[in-house]
Amino acid sequence: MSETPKYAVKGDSVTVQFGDVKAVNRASFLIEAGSVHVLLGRSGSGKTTLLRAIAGFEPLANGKLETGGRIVDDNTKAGWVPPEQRKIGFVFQDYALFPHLSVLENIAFGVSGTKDERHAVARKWLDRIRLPDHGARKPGQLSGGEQQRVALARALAPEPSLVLLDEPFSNLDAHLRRNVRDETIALIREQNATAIFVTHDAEEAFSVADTITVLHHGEVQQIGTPAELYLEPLTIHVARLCGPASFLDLTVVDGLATCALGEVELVRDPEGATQVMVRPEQVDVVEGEGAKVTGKRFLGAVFELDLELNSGDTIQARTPSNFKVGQPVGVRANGPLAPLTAG
Amino acid sequence: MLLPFLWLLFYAIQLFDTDASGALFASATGEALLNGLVLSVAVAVFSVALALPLAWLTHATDMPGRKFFRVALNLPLAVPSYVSGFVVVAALGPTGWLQQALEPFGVERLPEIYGFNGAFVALLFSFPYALIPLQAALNRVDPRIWEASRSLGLKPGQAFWRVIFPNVRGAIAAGFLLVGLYAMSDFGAVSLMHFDSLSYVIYVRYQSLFDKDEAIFLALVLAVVALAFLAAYRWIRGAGGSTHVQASAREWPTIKLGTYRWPAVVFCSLVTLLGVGLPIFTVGLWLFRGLALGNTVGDLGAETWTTLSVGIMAAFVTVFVALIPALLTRFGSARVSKTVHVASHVGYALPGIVVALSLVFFAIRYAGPFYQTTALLIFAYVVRFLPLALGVLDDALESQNSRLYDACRGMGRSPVKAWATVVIPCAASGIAAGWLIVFMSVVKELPATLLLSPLNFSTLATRIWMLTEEAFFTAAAPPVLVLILFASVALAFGTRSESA
Repeated sequence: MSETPKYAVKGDSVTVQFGDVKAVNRASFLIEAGSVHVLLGRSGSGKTTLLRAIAGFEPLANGKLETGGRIVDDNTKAGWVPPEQRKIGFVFQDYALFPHLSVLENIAFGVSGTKDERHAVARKWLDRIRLPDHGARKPGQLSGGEQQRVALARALAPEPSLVLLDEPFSNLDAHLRRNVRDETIALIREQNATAIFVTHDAEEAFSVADTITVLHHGEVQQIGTPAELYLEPLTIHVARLCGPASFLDLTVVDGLATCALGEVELVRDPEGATQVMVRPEQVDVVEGEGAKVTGKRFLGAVFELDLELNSGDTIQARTPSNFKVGQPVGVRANGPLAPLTAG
Repeated sequence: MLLPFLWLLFYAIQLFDTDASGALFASATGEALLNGLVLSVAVAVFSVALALPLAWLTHATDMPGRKFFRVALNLPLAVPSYVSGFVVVAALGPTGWLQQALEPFGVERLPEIYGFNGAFVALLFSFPYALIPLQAALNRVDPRIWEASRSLGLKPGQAFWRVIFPNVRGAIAAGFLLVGLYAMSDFGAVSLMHFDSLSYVIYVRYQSLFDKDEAIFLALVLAVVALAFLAAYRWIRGAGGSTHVQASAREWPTIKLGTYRWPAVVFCSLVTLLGVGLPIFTVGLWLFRGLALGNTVGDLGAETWTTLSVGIMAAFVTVFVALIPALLTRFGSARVSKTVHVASHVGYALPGIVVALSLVFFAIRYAGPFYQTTALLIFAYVVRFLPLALGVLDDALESQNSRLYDACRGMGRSPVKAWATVVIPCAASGIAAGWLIVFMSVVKELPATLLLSPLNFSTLATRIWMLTEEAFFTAAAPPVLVLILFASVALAFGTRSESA
């Protein structure tokens, strides 16, 4: 009891069902206390449903959920802890600020104490989110970025140890997103809170996450650090979700792995894998033979080339050198590749 | 649309020196006004108290059949007040079926139904006027604020009162005023129940031989009260409109009621049964009794034909007339639009008895040949229901992509041609909905029909009213049935073409 658990959230075979559809299916995961975790997946992958289950908005059909070492849902009615008792901050995609309350009252809403105490806390937060003069306004009078910051302050003001954020930046203009994102992370870290983000954008996930869970059709596909997911994906789906990738047939004979790029090193034991993933920057392009340039795009720092290998496979590569379309080139892998099972 | 009111004012000023103006200050007038106000406040309070849980249950919970109830609970709107008056008298009156059913058990008398009690019960059928704005407001509330308040530590009940209620307060007030205005303006129920509210007293004075002119002053008082309701309504709507609520088409999270689901269903079913089932049961019972007694259904052909033909004609004229201001509003200046809208609201708020009375006096004075002609009756319908048609047409044109019109103009059509070839055809379903709503309103209209119709002219509405007043329930049952049939068919089509 005295020792705080090392994990903030523990999911054990979590299943959420809508009618016959399992929106989340047997998801197990551990999220370390104080870390920033991201649930990554396409729309319909169950990531938002899982987040809502952790918050207490959707009950589990199966499995068990713990937050802060306490069981909050064991798929029974008696074991379900309602959202108001979970002490979890939630930031909604469209903010869900209370339209009838002022900005100050919105932030003070979940804080306990007398009115003066609550407003004092809220004013401190207004300073922190750099909106000290906006307390008396109604949410409708704020811009999107300001509303997002107020929503974050409202969720953090009661000092929850866990904050859940459902695509909190998706309604912001691209040029705002980066700044707001960095500020949000800084505020959460300052609170020593654990944060779980939901996003469909891998780049965003990489920039904020300590660890990431990739969901697909309601199932956990992989949990790991951004670098692990990017370079050592376990499935083709994860490989595609995390960035541009080409796939080549793999043959392993006597521990020797070969593909259309020749002999390659693998990041792990292939265990019956039939393909390797090649990221564009994992290919060195040199003067020589073995492939032909079929397309070219200038990306600023590098060129992205479409290459047709002699085997007939096509891959993409990034290189600073300027090759001509139609020009024959040599290619080779510049590091270990991830073996994958097709399908 | 302002014509009846202005004319009434003008006429009253002319008559101000006469004895009739004494009615303004007579204690009987004050009493009638107070009666009307007490009745409307009572009906409005009760309707809101009914509508709030109904709206919440059908909107946000996992109550079984909530989608069905969302529609079914609004059906009592198809029942005009003189029909609900008939239902109340024929069910609960001294010779009603409930009393007869209870007689073997020694129940000699039910509580007095004529007067306040009966009018109150009959007018409760207007509670959907409180429900509709509430449903709309709940739809506009972002369901996430419910969850946000829960995650910030509120229990469900607290969340409702602190977060949901403040955001629908405007709609509750609006519903209160709509029901209040309806009850204040009502003629059918109060006249059948002989309840001395303002509109019934106006009618009685008008029918009397000597005090006809006093009716003018009473009508003026009623008109002013109605306009006060309208002003309050507009003020609330205006104040409510300024709070920005994010538009969200999200489905509400269904709040689990657990075992409370069943009392909730019973509650909703009971209201639906009383609102829809009771009229049908009562009408059916008296119809059956009449047939058993050997009564024929009676020749309803003439009444049905008059009702239909007048309704169809009036609806066409009204929609056609309404198209002009609607188009000017959409494609004209903002000032014209504002004037038209205020005028149309004022016109619609005027009680039917006031409009009818002012037209009667106007016709007697200046348009003698038209007095008691179908033409004048249709004119009265147009004046009364133009605002209704205008509202629907405005919505239809508002939702139309304005680029359509621009494209048409860009291809060299004049505005009128653009309206005729593109704007109006594209708004056809909205126009049809407007037509149906006007048709339904004309078919149900009572006071203007009663006061302005030609001699020997009888519609379903007037026949039901007269028969009910004389307590001929068996004879009144068939026309009631036909009328309910018309009204519900029109309502069903109307709501369908609106949602399409």
